[in-house]
Amino acid sequence: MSVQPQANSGMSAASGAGVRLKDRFDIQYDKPLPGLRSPSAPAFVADDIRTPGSRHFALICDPKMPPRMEAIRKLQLLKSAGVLTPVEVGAVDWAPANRRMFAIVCEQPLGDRLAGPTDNMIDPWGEEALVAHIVAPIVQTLLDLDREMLPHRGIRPGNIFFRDASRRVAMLGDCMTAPPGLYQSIVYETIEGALAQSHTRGAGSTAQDLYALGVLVLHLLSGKLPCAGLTEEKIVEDKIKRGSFYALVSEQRVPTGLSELLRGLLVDEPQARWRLGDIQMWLDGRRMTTKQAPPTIRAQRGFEIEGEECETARHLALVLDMQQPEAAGRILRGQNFETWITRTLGDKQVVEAINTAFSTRSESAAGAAGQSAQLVSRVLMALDPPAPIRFRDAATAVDGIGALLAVTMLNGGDLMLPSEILSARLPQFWCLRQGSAKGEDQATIRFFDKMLRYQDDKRPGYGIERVAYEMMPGLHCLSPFIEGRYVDQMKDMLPAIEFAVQAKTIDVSPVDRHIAAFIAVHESDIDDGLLYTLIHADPATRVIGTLQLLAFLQETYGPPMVPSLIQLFGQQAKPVIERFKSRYTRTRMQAGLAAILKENSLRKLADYLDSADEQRKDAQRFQRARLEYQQMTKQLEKAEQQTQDLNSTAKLAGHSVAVKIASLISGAIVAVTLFAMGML
Amino acid sequence: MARPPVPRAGAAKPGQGGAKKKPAPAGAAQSQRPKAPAAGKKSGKHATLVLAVLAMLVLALFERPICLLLLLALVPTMLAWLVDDTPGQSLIRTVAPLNLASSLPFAIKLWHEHNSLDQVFDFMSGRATWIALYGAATFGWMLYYLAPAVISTVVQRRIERLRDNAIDRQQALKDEWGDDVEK
Repeated sequence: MSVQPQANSGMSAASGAGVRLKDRFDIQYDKPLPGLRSPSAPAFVADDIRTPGSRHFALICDPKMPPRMEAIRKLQLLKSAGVLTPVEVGAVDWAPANRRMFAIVCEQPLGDRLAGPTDNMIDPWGEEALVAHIVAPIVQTLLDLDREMLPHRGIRPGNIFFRDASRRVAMLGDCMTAPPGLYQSIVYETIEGALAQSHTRGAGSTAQDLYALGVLVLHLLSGKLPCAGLTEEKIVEDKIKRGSFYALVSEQRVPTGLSELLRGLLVDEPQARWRLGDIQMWLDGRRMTTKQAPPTIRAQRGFEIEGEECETARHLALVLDMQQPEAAGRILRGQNFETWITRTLGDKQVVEAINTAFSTRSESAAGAAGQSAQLVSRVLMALDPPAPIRFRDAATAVDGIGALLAVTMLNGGDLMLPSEILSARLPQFWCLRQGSAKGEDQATIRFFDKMLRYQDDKRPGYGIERVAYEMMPGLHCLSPFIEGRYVDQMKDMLPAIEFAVQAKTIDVSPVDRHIAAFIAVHESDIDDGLLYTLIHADPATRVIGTLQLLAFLQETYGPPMVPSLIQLFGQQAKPVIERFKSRYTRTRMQAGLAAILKENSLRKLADYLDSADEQRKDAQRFQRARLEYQQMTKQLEKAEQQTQDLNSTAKLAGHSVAVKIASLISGAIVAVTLFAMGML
Repeated sequence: MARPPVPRAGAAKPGQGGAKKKPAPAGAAQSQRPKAPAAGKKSGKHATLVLAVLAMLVLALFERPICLLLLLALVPTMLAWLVDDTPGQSLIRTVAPLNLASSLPFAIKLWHEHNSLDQVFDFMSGRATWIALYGAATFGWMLYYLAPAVISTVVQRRIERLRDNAIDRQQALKDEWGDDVEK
């Protein structure tokens, strides 16, 4: 009997070319909505069967990009009209891709997009319309999001819709289908975001949304993307050298009315950047003073690397990051660098941080080269504390490490890089460099210490897989057995395993390291000891451990029928039954197995094969049998001894018997004689 | 032959000072043991002989026919005395009672009827007398030699039955529990 996984995931196939999500939305494969798609998530018509005529669409997420589950949860709670909000989410059988994919159903905005997803040239907006129709609604939405501590991280013209057909109230688009900031142009990113790889920018904070809002205003005013025509490297360099405001505004004429707003939003130091309250006051017509950012310490004489004069520590970090790690290591160990840092730049905090970077050492799998790369990474953090962690080819925000790990795993990349970032304790070093004694930094340090312990633990349920699921709570299970089934909830796990067994994807052990780690993260009731048995040297213990684990899942989440899995365990039951020492017990258990398998219950099978009572009885009877065998051996030895002594013993006994018989017979003869002769 | 005195534990031997003596091997002690019963057996046999000779002398003085009858009748017992080297004189104790018991009717008859040498010879001339007298003695001899064989056979069978049972049970245990049950 086969199991339909759809039934277990709360959905069923819809009529026509589509699939039904959670008994409510029919997502139509053949009705794409290009105008509503996100860069990595095509959009399709989703019909609400409860409310015919409603306008919904579904975003089908790229399985190679982890969605922002935390954002989805918060948006579902928030129900803000100013941002694209998920009405229903879940994995569906997506026939065009021949796999299950994550679908997010949202209500269609009444208005269209502010600009096409790839349009850099757009019609310029007037100052008043821009403030009234774009800035004010977005600020209101950001206030809502800020209450939920949810940065949007996707503010750009191509991701802004209008709530109305007359394009008077802007609303923010999708921020759920990909890691935060993934599709943001470098121009829209702060210096820190721009320095990170696109998928590892991290959620950051509302301050980054406000920076993007500033760039959006500048973009809409002129109708063209600021810094258009410059390379990404040049844009970042300009932002670092000149500051974002001057780098982005450049030759552009900024209306006086918006100059104040832009100066407040495009400040590079987050603490000096305007906050939402400041913009609200500005919108209310109050005159705002620009906050003073701490002055950047500039050296009187620049530090030259390959013809590039670096006057600030941040610029030096950027140029060093462009060098090969070996070359950068040589520069850092040179006398010129030490002299420039200590005497020319004269920033005590930087000097102290660099000293710490040099004195901090961690083992590296890559040996001396790895340690040199770690040193470079730490020095870059010392020179530019807010910048992302830059290590070898990776550049990631601290809260983007989970995305780095997940995307690397999803795309089959080399896990050594994220693994070494954790091993070298670079996130902890980054936190300590932020110069704040805030509790959140300490919590982050403790979190990464825990992740390091998990990573170093090679038992099932731990390792780098556990770290990935801990850091990305919405990440679906990446086991090669069931990745295509998109298991992001425990209730979908067993149906997916059953499907894999049915499809012969699994033919030996149904639980691999990914599945074990996923279960360990999502099911705190699972005992670690049960997970350890998955790699036990004894095959019977492994089978029993796996069976007990899956029996727990079936009991807790269902489904009630897993026939293929049951049969798989039936085939693997031999070593388990062989554990019983008694041949008769084994024969009896083998004979009873077929009946148990027919019951289709992993729990009953587990109890049958792993019966403590049966095992205790078997062990007790075996002990008794051993004692009896020993007694028999002694009896045989005694018989042997008796046989050896038999001749002498029999002789003695025989003679004794002969004497007695002779005495008896003689007595009888005498008695008869005396009686016959009348003497008695 | 007198047994050499066994030195007490800890007693010093001349020339050995106060050194500890190793205990004598068990086999060495056992090899000396049969000598004492042998001496006892011999003295027992001698006592029997003395008693028998004395009895016969007394009988010869007062009842010559009976004495003659017994001399002729007890030849198997005398032979038994000669060949018996068992510790408890089992052969004599087996043959003699039967031999004596079979002689008793003739002796009583002699005593009550014609107590003469002629009567003795008259008895002896009859085949039945010899069969009666020596048949009982022969039965005694046979009993002496057959009883151990019979007992040996019976005991041997019992041992074999126990051994077979033990082997069968061990095989049954191995069938159920495998070779591990031997460990």
